[in-house]
Amino acid sequence: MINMPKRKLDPLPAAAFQILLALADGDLHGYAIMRQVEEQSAGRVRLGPGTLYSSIQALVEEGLIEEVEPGGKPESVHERRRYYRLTSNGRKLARSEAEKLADLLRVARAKNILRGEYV
Amino acid sequence: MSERIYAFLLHLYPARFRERYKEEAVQLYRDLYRHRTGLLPRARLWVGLLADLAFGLPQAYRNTYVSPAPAPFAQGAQGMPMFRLLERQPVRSESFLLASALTLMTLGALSVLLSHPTVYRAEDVSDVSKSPIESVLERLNQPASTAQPGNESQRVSDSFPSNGQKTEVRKEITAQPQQTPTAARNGINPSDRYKVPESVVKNPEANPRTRQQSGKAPVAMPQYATQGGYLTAADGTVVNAHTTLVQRWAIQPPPIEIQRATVIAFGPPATRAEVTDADASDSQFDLDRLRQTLDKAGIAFLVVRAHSFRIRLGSETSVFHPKSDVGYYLIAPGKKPLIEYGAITDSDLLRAAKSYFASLGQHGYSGSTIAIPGNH
Repeated sequence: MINMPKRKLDPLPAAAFQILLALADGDLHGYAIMRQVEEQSAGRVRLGPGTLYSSIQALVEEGLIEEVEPGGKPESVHERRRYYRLTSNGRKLARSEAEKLADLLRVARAKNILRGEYV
Repeated sequence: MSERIYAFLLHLYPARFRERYKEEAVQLYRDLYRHRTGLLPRARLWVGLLADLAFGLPQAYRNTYVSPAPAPFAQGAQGMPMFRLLERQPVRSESFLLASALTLMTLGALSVLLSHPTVYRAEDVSDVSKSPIESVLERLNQPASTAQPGNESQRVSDSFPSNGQKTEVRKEITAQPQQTPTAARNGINPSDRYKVPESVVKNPEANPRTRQQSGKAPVAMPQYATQGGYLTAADGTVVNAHTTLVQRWAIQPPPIEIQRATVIAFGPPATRAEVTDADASDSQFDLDRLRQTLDKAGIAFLVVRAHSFRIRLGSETSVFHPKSDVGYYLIAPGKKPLIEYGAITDSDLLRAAKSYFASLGQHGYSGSTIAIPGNH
């Protein structure tokens, strides 16, 4: 059973879920997260700076992602960026959310709402 | 230029958000702007930024901006009330100035409100809609069955004349009224609360306005000065009810305790503007004459200037709300009160009193002892 704390991200907003998915492959900074989200959603989801950083802050406060020191050398003093990493709770929550969506997809497929190529 | 505009728009976000993410947000905007060339793509960028502003702001204000690592004492203390810091920055001096100005304005408005004269209206004892303050005040002003220190009830001594003989009418205050804190703040001396204004009692014979001037019979209802603006009295029995809100709390008029035949002349509260010293002296002259006549017959005479007043008869207290501004309230223990409305002459009042009190034989009183002027 997943130990999910009571939080303001319940239900998980789409932007927050996209950020969790974007961080599933590794640590990223804000701009990279934005590009990753755009890429993984085939351009359907584009996060602006306000939505991106307010969602990041909410995820940090909920302990779903955490700020980490950048591994490489920063590009410049003025372009120092924060990097974020998915926590174990964040990964569990992302998995749980994905399973919910998968269940919905199964229902939709059973009702012939979706064609087979989506799942 | 556009970067500055975006940086300015970030001021819509909470200070904690800006403190933490402003640089990155501006950097991100710079990256986005750099990758979009041409007027149309940059216009689209700005449309997207404005939409982002609308979606991102609510979430930004919902965030607490506190560290996710809980303090040691807060661990495992779910449900415990905790303070939440909204702003980490110190309060600016402008905020102190604004707060000071608002506080002064509020206090000024409150002061004006409290010093504004209001007409006191006694509440009905049976009225359950009284405020708690009024209920407490009323209980505090209820006289005890026996005279006790602090009992402010006016007590008219039961000194009826026996066998038609004249007995000196005596009126006593059972105890000195206590000084309440509010009264003290307003400079109200408890011993002055029922005092007759000096200008009234100094020389009642020197009546500047004689009834011959008007050619009309004298009206027994006196006009009273409101010395000090809060309370006036004649013969220790008159309450002027034009008081400020603070004074109203401070000087709850006690009920009039009836222990013998009593005539109460009532009238509306008079303001300082309405009453002059000359009027007061004139009224006092008429009042004293009427009082002397009733005193000789063993009847107490009180004057009340209020929209209503309380009567205490035995253990029961009732509130009298006159249907007319001026009139007379005749009462005696064990007898239903008689109310004469309107300004009537001394003679008419004395006739009414004579008729009303004539049946009080069990008290040794005979209404025939009332001397009516002109009926010889």
